[in-house]
Amino acid sequence: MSIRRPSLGVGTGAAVLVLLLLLPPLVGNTQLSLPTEIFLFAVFALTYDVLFGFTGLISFGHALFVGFGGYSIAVAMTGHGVAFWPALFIVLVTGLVVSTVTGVVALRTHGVYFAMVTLAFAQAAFTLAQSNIGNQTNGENGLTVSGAPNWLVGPTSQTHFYYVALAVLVCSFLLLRVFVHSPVGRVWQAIRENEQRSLMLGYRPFVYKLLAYVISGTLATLVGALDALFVGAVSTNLFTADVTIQLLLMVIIGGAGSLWGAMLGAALVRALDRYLNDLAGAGWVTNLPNWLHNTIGQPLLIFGVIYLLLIYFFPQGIAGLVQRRFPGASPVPQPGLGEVEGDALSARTEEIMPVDASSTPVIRS
Amino acid sequence: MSTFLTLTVSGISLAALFFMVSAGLSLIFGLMGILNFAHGAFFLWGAYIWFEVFNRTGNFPLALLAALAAGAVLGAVTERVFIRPIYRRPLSQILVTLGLGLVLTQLVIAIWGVQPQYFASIPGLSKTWRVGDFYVPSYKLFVIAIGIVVLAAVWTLLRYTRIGLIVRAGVENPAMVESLGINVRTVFLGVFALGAGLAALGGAVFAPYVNSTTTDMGQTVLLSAIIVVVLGGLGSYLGSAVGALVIGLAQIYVPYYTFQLETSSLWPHGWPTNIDSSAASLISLVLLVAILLIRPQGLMGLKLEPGGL
Repeated sequence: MSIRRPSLGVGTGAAVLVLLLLLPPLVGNTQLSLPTEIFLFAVFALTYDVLFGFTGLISFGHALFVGFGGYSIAVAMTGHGVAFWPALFIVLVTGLVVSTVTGVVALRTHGVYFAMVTLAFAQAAFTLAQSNIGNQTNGENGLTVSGAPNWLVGPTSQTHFYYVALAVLVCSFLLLRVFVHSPVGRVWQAIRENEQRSLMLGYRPFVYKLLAYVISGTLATLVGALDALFVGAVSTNLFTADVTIQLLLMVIIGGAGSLWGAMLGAALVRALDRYLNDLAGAGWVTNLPNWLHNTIGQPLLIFGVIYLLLIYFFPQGIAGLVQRRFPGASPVPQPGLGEVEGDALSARTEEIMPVDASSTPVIRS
Repeated sequence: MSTFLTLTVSGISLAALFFMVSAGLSLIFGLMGILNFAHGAFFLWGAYIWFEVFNRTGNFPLALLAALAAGAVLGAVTERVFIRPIYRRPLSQILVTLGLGLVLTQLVIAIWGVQPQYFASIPGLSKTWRVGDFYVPSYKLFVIAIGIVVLAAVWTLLRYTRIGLIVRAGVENPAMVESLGINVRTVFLGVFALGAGLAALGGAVFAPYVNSTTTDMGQTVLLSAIIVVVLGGLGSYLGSAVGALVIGLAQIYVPYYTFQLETSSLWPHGWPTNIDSSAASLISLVLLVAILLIRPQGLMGLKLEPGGL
């Protein structure tokens, strides 16, 4: 790795941060909900990027953590009257447990199987929440979140929540940045590039992948709880694949394997979502033909199309474009979205069904 | 005993539906190495095309054929336009099929809206036979019949025709087939169209089964189909039939025998709700995870050698 010097990126980041710190007095309390939402989703996108962009794990079940965090705090605070700080602690512990347990199971599989197992976990959580097992989750009606301290979610505390969310985002970014630039992060990226090779070099991919999964999952669970406080309610929709796809979209737009890219992606997706929602209510739009009106009110279709176009034409996202424009910027790795060398038809077999790298190789007779 | 028979007929008819969806999923994976996350959307499109045609003409067989054809066309276009450019990018394939599934589902929502669509009962198939306490809705027998026809037809195609020979060889070793001068890409296109057509037919048959079409049925069925395919062994055609039977029966038996639920609350009138559906889908999810951990090649697949019928 080359010697790092304070670069364009650090300067831009500091300038953006100062701007965001000054934003509340400039725009007024009522305009803060969108940026607050963006901060929270930016953390979700960061955690997803650690898995997908840095470690090369395609999880289709990240919604599990988003929803689980929300439901944990709702059940603890609304259902059992637990106070705010102890409730957050409960969320932290349950997040650790859930991510470790699901991680240990899911990471025994690879590639598309990993995607399947994680999807199955999220779906299981969705089913459990929907069916109101143990009378805790209130079925498809969801739960409201009450009992949060006034300074955080009171009618005049939008500014407070804004700064809390911003602080959480900055801390998460710095924490994950330390991780991805640490030796551990290097191994993550080595696993992404070639898991077999990192195994041969003496690392245990399973342990490193589990670490990435647990860090990512626990952080996402905590922020899921914060998001539930911000919205004031949780519903089973939080567990659906749509949530995961949205995070995937954010990371792909921004550039997988780039932390600032993930945050930028989150900002663009949430802002566009809000804009389209407002647009769908506008007079001239409601007069449009029905299917066109439906399309604008249903931004997932538009997101899906953008997502597909990006995968085909800009698989490295915005971060990739920036890097092409400023070759001096820190390099953005290509997380396996490029072409497989050699013959596609035989290469695919290894990619989709890799030998089990986490166990000791066994020679079969 | 009659309860057991009623449950069994329900389970087998559900298995027939799962089989129609998972057969294509399994063949596509075996041949191309792509787990098609858009397969549920083909199913959904089949249901809505069927609804549209049936609603306009009242002709049930015509509506089924229209769904089959629409699914095949959709599958062919998908393969040609979206999958072909990324044969060399396995990660992109996972991401693209997921995105396609989302877009196709959202298109259904944009065209037909999110609310469920209801339709007239199927002429000649709305009767329920009763022998003592043993109830058999004739539509379920029809679904089982369709499932058997599809199973036999595709099996004959794979086993006794030249195309089938190429497909089977392609599942074993696509590079070798190509080097023998056979245009394996055309075979890919055909199999993708066939698989999508079968999924769409499954959707069309499924809609009357639950008396309505809803926009989330694709996603739900996709997960069941994935479980069926993994259970049967990815790439194994007969394996998906066995897997479908296991999952179909399990999804009916388990809720009944663990929670003593009334059969009427099960499949005849819609998706089972609340506790029975969660028991059914949880048992499948547990099965999925267990199989991936213990026997990732499935019941009838061979490890690292996807193949065999």
